[in-house]
Amino acid sequence: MTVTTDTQTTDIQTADIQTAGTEIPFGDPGAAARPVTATTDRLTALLADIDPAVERALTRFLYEEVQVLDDWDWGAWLDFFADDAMYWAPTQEDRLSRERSQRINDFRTSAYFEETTVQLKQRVDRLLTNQAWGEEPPSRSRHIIANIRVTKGLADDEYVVKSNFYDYRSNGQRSQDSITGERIDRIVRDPSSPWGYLIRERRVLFDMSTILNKNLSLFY
Amino acid sequence: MTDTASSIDIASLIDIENGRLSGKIFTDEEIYEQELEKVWKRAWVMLAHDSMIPRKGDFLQTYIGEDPVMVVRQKDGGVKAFLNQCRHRGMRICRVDKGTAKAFTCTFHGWAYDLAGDLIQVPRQDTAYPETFERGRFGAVKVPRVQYYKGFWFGTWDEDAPDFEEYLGSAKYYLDGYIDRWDGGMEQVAFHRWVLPNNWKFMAEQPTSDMQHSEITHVSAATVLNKGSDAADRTKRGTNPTGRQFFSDYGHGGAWYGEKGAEVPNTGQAMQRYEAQPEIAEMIARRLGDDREIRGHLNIWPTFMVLGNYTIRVTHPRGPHEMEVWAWTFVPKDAPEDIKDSIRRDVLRTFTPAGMFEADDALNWEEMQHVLKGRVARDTGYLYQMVGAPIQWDEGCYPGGSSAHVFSDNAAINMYATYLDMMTSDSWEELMEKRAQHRMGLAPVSAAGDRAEA
Repeated sequence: MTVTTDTQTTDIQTADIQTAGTEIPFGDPGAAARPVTATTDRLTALLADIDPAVERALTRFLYEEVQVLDDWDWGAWLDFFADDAMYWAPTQEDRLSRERSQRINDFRTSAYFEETTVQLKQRVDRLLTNQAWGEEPPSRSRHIIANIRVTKGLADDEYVVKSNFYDYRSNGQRSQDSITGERIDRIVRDPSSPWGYLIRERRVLFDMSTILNKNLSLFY
Repeated sequence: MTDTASSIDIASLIDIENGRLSGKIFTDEEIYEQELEKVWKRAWVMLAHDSMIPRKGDFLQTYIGEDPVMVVRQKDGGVKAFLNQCRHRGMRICRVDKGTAKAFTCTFHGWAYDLAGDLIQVPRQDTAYPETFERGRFGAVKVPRVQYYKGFWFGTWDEDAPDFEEYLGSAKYYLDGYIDRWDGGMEQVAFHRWVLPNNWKFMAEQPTSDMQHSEITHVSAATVLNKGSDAADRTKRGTNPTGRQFFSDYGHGGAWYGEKGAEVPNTGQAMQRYEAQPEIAEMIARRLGDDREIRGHLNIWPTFMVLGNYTIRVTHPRGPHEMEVWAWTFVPKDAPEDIKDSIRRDVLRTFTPAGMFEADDALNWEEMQHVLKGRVARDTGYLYQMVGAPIQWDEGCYPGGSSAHVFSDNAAINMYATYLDMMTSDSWEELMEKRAQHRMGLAPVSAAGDRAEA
């Protein structure tokens, strides 16, 4: 990418932003002087690919989903998943550059979660015994979902939604931890679900190679 | 005198006769430093399994205590281990978890080491170093004793340590019950690594001795996981559960439910069905004998642990208040894929950081460690007075010390007795003499029954 270093351009950046409106990428006043680039084209294409209403719905869907978790309403959380969903969180480790493609462990090898919805329900049932001491009294959590990117899936009415997360947890008097990562969800439109959409597949990739938290007793 | 000679009288903190421990052994920095010297530099520690580094040049990073160690498959098929520290300025030589390599180059000044840890290249050696500089003198520090046992490689820093099999002692019988069941051996299929905010001895103690915590700590997991399984139906165990607890001379211990032939909790049903097939049962009987079926928990001191559903782990101490759990899932190499997959999933859902059993252990230990910040709390001390059943030595088909009751503190007390002897011995020779004298349940140590009155 060419970056304009002409000081005069910097001087007039406010005027540029005002005249060029939303076409100027935020924080890059030099872009006003450039013709439309391939980067802009790609973004336009991405936006054109998805109905804005769908993107908005899916974004809200993800926000509602994590709010249910933060409200300790774990039973209701299962409503967001198709009956045959797969919830998978592989481990990852540090590898040499030439072996970096093996950094994330394959499906059916090392994972923190590899659950069907039936098995997720088992985990939820455990929390609901009120004797799951790791979450009793339950942690206060905040699931922050960001960088949501919606693209079309393979099937009609199916979407691949990537997002980043920051999950903070506080329990007891002093314990706190957080974990970050990326989710890739395959979500389908399903008017029969209470939320209108269902998660068919979720891959959670934690950024830690050694989990520095005492456990992963919540959902991500 | 070593640089970690302690002003603390450790013997005053561990009362074997009365089953009492001071909380200080879980918190004190000076004691911890002494542990690195007297326990971790002396004990045998599991470094790797064949299946983790199958080909020449395969390597992994691990630890013995706090010391980072490289474990590398050699060209001749053997395994060598060396300190992961450059001899030049102490940088970690290798900074990835595992891989395959021909050499390891330090990223600070470029000193390079071969698969055996020998120094093979020093940049500018010809022009900037004196002729007297000898590369051969500055190889990475070798782990001097590395021994192979049934697929596993163990190492110790102590040249005078007994051979690994002697160190195992009577625990060999029980360990073989897990790792020597299969003609085709075992392979690791998953790995998990996480950090817990507690002293390393809390976790070591559990597979050594504590089956009883499961009834309370893991009640939620048992409730949801064991629906429909006779194996875990606690009502079938009765009020005085059958099973046995075992302990041996160098602090190893374990316990399991049931008699031979009983369904074994913590071993998935797929595995049980697999083992019930006549040809598989016959293979196991041929390898282990008819009267051995040992699965529950086992710990080889200090922290080589085997759980009945084939999670095998080593924990590494990280100061008195923290430890790392390194846990591998093992499967019988020749088992059908669906059996392997069943074992793998059973482990990941129970004994990993997201495991439903593991989550509740972590909470207990974190709280225990936190309470020990209190000056009064640290001095209150812990009680180990559950006897279970009278201690027997080499009873019937069970080598070592054991009790015909699955719930007992005997193996924990034996573990801390070993710990005490290690911490107060300057050599393996002295330690072995002490261990021979301090066999629990035999004079001059009081019978376990006396402890209940203390």
